[in-house]
Amino acid sequence: MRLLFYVVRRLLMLIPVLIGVSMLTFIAARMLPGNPALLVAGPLATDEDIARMEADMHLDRPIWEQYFNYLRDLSRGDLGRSWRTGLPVTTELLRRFPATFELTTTAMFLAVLFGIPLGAMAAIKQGTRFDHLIRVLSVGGVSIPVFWSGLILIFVFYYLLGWAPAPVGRMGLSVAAPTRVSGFYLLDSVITGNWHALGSVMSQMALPVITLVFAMLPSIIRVTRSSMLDVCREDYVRTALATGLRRRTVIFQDALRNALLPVVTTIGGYYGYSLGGEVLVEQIFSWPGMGRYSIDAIYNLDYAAVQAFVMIVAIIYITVYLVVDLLYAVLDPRVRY
Amino acid sequence: MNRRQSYQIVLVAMSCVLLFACGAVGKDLLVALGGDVEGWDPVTEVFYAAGEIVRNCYDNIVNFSVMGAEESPYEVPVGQIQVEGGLAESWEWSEDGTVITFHLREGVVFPSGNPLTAEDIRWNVERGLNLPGGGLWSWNVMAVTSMDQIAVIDEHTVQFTLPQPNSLFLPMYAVETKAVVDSAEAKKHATAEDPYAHEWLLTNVASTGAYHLERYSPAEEIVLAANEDYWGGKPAIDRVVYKIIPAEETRVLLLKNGDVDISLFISPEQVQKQLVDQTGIRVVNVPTPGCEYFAVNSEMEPFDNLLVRRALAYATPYDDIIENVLYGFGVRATSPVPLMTPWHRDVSPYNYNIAKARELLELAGYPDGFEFTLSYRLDNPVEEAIAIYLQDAYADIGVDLIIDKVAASRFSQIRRTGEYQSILVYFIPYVNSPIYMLNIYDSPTANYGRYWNQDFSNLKLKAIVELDLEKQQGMVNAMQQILIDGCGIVFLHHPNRITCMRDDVSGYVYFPDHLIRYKYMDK
Repeated sequence: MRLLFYVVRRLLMLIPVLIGVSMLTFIAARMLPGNPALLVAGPLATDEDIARMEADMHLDRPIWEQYFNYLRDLSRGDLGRSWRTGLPVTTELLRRFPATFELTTTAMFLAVLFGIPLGAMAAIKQGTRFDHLIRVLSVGGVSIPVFWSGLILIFVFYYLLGWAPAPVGRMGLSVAAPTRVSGFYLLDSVITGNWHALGSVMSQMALPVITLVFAMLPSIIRVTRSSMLDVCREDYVRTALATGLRRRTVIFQDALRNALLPVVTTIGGYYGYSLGGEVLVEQIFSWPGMGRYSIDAIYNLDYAAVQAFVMIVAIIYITVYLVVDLLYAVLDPRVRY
Repeated sequence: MNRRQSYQIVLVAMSCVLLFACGAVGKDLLVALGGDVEGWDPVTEVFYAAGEIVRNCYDNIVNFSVMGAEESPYEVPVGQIQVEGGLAESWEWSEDGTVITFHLREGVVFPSGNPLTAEDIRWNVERGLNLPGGGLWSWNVMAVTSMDQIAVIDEHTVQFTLPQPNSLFLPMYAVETKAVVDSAEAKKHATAEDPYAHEWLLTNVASTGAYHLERYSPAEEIVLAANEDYWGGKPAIDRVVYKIIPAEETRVLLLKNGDVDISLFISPEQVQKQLVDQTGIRVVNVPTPGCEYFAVNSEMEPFDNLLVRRALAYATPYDDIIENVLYGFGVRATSPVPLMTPWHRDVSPYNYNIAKARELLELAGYPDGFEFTLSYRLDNPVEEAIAIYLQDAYADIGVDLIIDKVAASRFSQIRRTGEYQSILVYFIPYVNSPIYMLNIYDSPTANYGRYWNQDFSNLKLKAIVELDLEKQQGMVNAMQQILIDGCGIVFLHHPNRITCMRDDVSGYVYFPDHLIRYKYMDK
């Protein structure tokens, strides 16, 4: 019950945060240099055309009036329309969110699945060749830029070896997307029993996921490793070992669980950031995600799209951190809400 | 094997058969494109991909005619400024050249079932004149400024009355922004706030073209399907599938591997290093009327001094740039009227001549040189390379070039208002007409050199209405000379249009607006 109240309280905090975010992005977007009416009207438009465009886009109203209209629309769930495409921004973001979410979550899942054991083992076998190997791997992952590793993977596995499919996005060149149930292709193809689509989706995801995992592993490995090292030095671990408990029991029951706290924070932060869209990976693998969309929007001064994107990312971050805090309660019995 | 497994096998088998069948039926052309499509209302479309959709799914009253491969000076057939009948079967001009009567093709029906009538033509003109951002300017160049000038004679006859003869009228009517929208269908989607159905037309197509829009998945693909009932005959390519691939390297690899048939927007460097002389790949390389300008602001110091402008024109390493930045895929620009445009003449006396440049600079009163800023769009690697070459070259005469990279949005603004000392800008004309080009050079928003000359403006007004071709050509020659002498713009080069495709693709016709008409193509 107390937990429920805690969750509700945290979610209510969303409101003031979002109001603050909306004000900041509204101002920031309008401080970007350039007049969006010009971009839309084109280079040969007359002054008359431009004035008409500005009236159409409500840019000729005083700024507080524009902000007020924006808030009013927001309260009705209307995030505005994109000036470039004419479509409502909510529609566009909802279309793209599943693509980013699916890619990021799969990559994160695998990175955690491999990262935590590898980090833990590196800590346990500190100083051995295994430890050094892991540390080289993580330095590599953090120093090699994603656009390089992605392109090399495409070049080797698609072009030279022909093992990977053409990096044209979520579906292969001649495969139709599965019937849309959730927008998450992995889920949709399983639900509708479309195994051909499932195969295509998985093979299209292979290279971008590998690229992302390689970039995500280092931080997870390093924080797990250093956290484990700290924990293993604690008195209670030494006592547990001294009383004769098996190493395995001590590591998995006591040490790892306590070591996970900072790891969960790191993962949460990284996950929140990635859900905003890994722009470079999306570029290289032609992934129709939110990252690309946001960059295009900023570049083209698409105010509504930029504002909506920032709001969505703010909501994502708050939700992710809420989940992280709840996980603390699971991992650490001292934490009570 | 249990029931579930056998179901799965049957499903897979069926999908394979279906896919195979789909693949076997119909010819698909896959095109790799960078950048997304943004709203394809023909009157307001700005971005390249939207232009291609409009060009292929819509039709105009007249279309640019094609000069066949045998007569074309280039390796492919070329679109010309002369027009041929599109939705109009024929037309006549009155004796004094001010009234034109179009006779529409009979039996043309829009996909909605509505027949093409003169009302459609009339409504589209009204739309063009009244829609914000609708290219009012473009209609004004055609001397159409009010709805009084258009008359519906009967169901298939429309008449325009112009205040004086205008040689740009027909060519401008073939530009894709004048595509004919199904007015009956569009009116169904009009609202009080949006009487011309702009919102609806941003994401829907209401016209009869060689193709219709089958599917659009934002950020993923656009599929055009052939129109079986097209009045010009069903095109050979059944489906055109645009795949949106933002990374240039990926587009190159897809083409080399044969997974796509055409790849667009590949830089000259990549073309030279990766695609030229590759088996299975054909690189079509055509000089274009598009021109790269180095425009100085002749209203500001030190560029208000003619000698300074000319000095820079002599200090520019034109051929070096073409060789090293464009990898040879370009041609020197020698006139304000571009190379591929009729009545082009090599009037430019400027060549890379450092001694002459120094001499002129001294005469101008700047023996120690000066400093100035060059602005250009920051997402353009080719222009960046050009800027660096210019910087290097001008240093030789003591001139310091400061590079100013500007975001697209801001660049549009300064380009329009003239808040720059100098800019690099690439200009491509919609219509391959010398009059059209010269018109640009004293328009308030597109005269990038800001060099104003009264003789030029007077000549221009006379030339537009002149019916005698010889006299008109004389005026065009004089205008070219004035602009070159005034040197408000240093004309750098015409970058070639490079289109890379698999060598089993045929029928590519180059049009000066760069858009590909798929109805001519085959595989």
